[in-house]
Amino acid sequence: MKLNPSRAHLDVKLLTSQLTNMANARDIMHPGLCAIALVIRAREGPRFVFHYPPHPDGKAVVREARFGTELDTEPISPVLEGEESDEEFGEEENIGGEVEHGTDADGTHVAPWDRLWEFPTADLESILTPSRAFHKRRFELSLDPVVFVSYPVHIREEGGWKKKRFKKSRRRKEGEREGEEAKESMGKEEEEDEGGMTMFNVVFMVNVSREEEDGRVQEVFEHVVKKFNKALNHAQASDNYVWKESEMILGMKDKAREERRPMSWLWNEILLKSTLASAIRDVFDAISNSKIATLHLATTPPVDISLQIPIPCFLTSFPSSDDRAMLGLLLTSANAMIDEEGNENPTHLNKHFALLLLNNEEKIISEIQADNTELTAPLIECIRLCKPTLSFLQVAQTQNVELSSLLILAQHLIYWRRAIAIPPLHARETYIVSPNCDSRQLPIASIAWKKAFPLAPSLPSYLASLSAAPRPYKHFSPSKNHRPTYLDMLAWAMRGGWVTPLRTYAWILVHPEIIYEVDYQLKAAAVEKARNKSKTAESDQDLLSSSTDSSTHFPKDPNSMTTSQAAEHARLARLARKTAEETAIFAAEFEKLPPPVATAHPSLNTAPHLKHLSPYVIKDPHKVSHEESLYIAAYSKRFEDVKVRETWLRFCGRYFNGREPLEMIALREGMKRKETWGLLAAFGEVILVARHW
Amino acid sequence: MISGIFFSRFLPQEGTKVVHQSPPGFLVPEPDVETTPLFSFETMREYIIPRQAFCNRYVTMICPDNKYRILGHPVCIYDEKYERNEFMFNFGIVIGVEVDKTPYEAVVRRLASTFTEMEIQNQYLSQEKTEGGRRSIAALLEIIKEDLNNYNECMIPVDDANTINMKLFPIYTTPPPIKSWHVPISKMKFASIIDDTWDLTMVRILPHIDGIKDVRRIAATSSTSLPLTKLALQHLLYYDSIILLPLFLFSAIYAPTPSLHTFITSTPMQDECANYVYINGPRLSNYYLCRLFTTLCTSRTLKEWLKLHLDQGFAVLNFVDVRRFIQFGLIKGLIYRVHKYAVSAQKLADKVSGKERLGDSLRDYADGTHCFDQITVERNMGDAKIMDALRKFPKGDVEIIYR
Repeated sequence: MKLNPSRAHLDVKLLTSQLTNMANARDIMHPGLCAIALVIRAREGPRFVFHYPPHPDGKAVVREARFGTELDTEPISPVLEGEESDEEFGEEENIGGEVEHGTDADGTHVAPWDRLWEFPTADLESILTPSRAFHKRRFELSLDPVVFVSYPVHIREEGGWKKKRFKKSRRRKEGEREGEEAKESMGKEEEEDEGGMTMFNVVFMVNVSREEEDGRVQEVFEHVVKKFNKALNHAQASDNYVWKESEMILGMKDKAREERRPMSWLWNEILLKSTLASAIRDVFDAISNSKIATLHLATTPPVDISLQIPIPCFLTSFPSSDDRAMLGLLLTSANAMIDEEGNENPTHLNKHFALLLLNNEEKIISEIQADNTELTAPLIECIRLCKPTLSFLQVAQTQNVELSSLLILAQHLIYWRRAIAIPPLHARETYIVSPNCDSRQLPIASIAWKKAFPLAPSLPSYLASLSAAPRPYKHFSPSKNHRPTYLDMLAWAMRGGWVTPLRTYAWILVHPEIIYEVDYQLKAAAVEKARNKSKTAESDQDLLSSSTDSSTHFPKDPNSMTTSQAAEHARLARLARKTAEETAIFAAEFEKLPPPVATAHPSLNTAPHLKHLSPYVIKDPHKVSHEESLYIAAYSKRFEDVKVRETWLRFCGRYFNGREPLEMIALREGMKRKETWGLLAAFGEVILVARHW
Repeated sequence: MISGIFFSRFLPQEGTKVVHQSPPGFLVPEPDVETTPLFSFETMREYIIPRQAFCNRYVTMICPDNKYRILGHPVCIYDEKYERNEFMFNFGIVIGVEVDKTPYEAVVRRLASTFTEMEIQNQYLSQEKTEGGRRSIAALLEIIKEDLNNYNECMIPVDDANTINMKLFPIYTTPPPIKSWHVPISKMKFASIIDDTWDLTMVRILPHIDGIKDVRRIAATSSTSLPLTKLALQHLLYYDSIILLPLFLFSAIYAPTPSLHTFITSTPMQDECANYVYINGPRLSNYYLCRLFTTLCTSRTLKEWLKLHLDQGFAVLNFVDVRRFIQFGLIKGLIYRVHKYAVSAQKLADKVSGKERLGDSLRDYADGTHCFDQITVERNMGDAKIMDALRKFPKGDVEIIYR
């Protein structure tokens, strides 16, 4: 995609204000939504009530052919025979702007809104009001190239739109917040005119390429279609909302038809007067731009609902060359939603992570205030308390708030795209430029950066210095006084997906010296055991010879033995001799082995008897074999300092498994970072270390 | 797998009617057949032959219990010879919702077009009869279903003039575009499958796909134009027969990804790697491979990495083919290439102010979106030469970002 220079200039202000890591969510997850329509079945039959936008685009969304982490703009030649294109589809309506009223072949008046693409709404309304078999089920009809997906809601067979409950308490609970059910049944009793409406159906139309169709349709259905229709069912049940709104819209349409009003005028009028129509517009505008739709249906009681197709906050693995590019998304293996067993669990938020707001704090707070729900006050409190440099646990401890509620609020903010969870930012840790950062945004991001940090180095030079050589972050700050600002800069860069923490992972490395030592000890024990065994065997033999009347044992006198008994006796004797010989050889060989010598640096031990051994990496210290546990014990004997020895045993299973970054030790153990690194330095020789994001 | 195939017509008196179905009874009950229908035909009737406005296009519909999907292409032929001046029919296929529907679209479209043509020619459908060497539609449906399910293709002569030839083609996703600085590696032995009928460009470039030459070099050495070379490679990529990797350079930087953990803990993977890379000398233990991978990092070029190991007494090159070693890491996703980008402050400012001028050679690349590999290939400049040229930019203007 080429940045049009003149247009870029105009949009700078707009773009800088939106510059978050979600800025290009649209590229990433275009849902391909092209229109939404409301269809009902009333007394006089099915009616096509409203659709938005008035002239939907009939073309499939063409996604940018960008893959992996590529940034360049080399023109892409159209390759491989494309699928049959539907060029004519939707064309007639899109040319020339306004469509006039006209008449069809039979001379009947045709209003411009009587067609959606080339489909007459009179036909659509019948095909889009499916039978009761589809009640609250997935309805998915594709009329090439558009997929119609919905969740039709029928009136209950016994009448009413909701199961009736709380029948007895209805009268008494009147006026209380006991809720919708009571109110709804109230409405029923007043016998409002429902116009014989027996079903309604908000249909979402999706048009994407075939290869993506199933996935996109599924997403829209699960996250938007189902929830929106359910919310309308609720509103209809409590306040006859859908019918009242439909009646009004249909009335306006009839009047406009008589007056031969233009469609644009009518649509403006409808959107002004009908809250349902404007809700449909809001859903369309938000969802088709991968944003969150926040709706307020003016019913009594009012229905508030937010809809979104969730988008990932970060990527945990390097995008491969055939993955669609998700540039600008934070790339990190630090996943806060992993529970103790190592499984991904969206309801579990790691208490050692910190909250990073995705936008200006004041802006988010004012948005939350505008929503004005019962969660508003706690959410604002949560935002004020949490800092990207403090883990949730630290916030809870220092501010004396309950950790579990803090985590729930934080999860709410994360789900609604206001924040992400990151490992707490710290000057001692290392940060590098993310391989997935969206450098195409550099021109605009540089301006935003300058505005936020006027005295700091420019964004490119900041990123250049971070990327040149990974070092603890504090080295980039000119002085200790600059650190808070530098941490703010880091938070800014992290939010935009520019940088990512470089984390350290370790595995236990067993050097040949240790392997030899353990092996030697095992052999020594075996020799010792064999010796004892042969001794006891001899004494057993004596015992056996002395015993007389045991039927299971052989008779003392060889002459009284049967031939088979004699053979068995001879065999056992042979075996015993052989074992004794082997033991002797084994012991003799063992005697020849050089005894293990513990050197100060096992990794540098080049003694000839270690030549044939190679170092060994313990794969999972949680599930160690007998030998592996001896290796760990052997190491622990080497540490003279008691504290180091204790730490070694504690850290082995928890952190030297290649999964838990060493940076998390300080947080999880409640230690100072300096202290942990000091301790880890003692293990430097015996762990294999890798650093990656 | 096709669960069922059917032919339905719209009859002026009776409405939509299933005329033939295979297997019998899967859609509507048939006398003497005990099969229970897969779903209720009544609820789907309207979508099998919809109103005229929705005919003559590909239509799919999911049944209410979300288990089966009907793929059809309802056809409406207007002609005065028919009652009500129109003839409507649909040849449909029913598959499970979990079955990938894309390959079947072409089948359904082909059935519609073939039978539309035959109906227009000799009223094959409306005057359905079985004598005169014609196959009955019921038999046809049966053969089509069986052949497609068993052989993924069918070739059925219907009458003297018409044959139904169909094949299910797997539909792959669009492959990423080929860049001139990519290096293709073949995943199969092309020499053993190539024959005279192959595309001429393809024949020319195939011998040059050796895992070393970049795309531009392949084009140059095979005397093929670069766009054609890319086109041919794109075909190979579509069928997943090549892998594309970045240029291999000793001045390049590679860094581990979180997948490295898999390598450290998987002995079979280590063995695989050992077989592939220990070709320069005696085979070492797998531990050295772990050590080699874990010492790659974001600020260390391969040259520096080799030096590091040499200083520790490990002459890597005596044992390991480093190019293969890096290839293995990249293909398995254990490491990634850290690319180098130049960013000129002036260039960024020009972009924002709309004063950007192209054609100013190296400055065009200095906006942070063009890696050095691209410059190397397009401008024929090595790393050192590029750095030299960048030094001629005003002081403090250019920054180098490793990403």
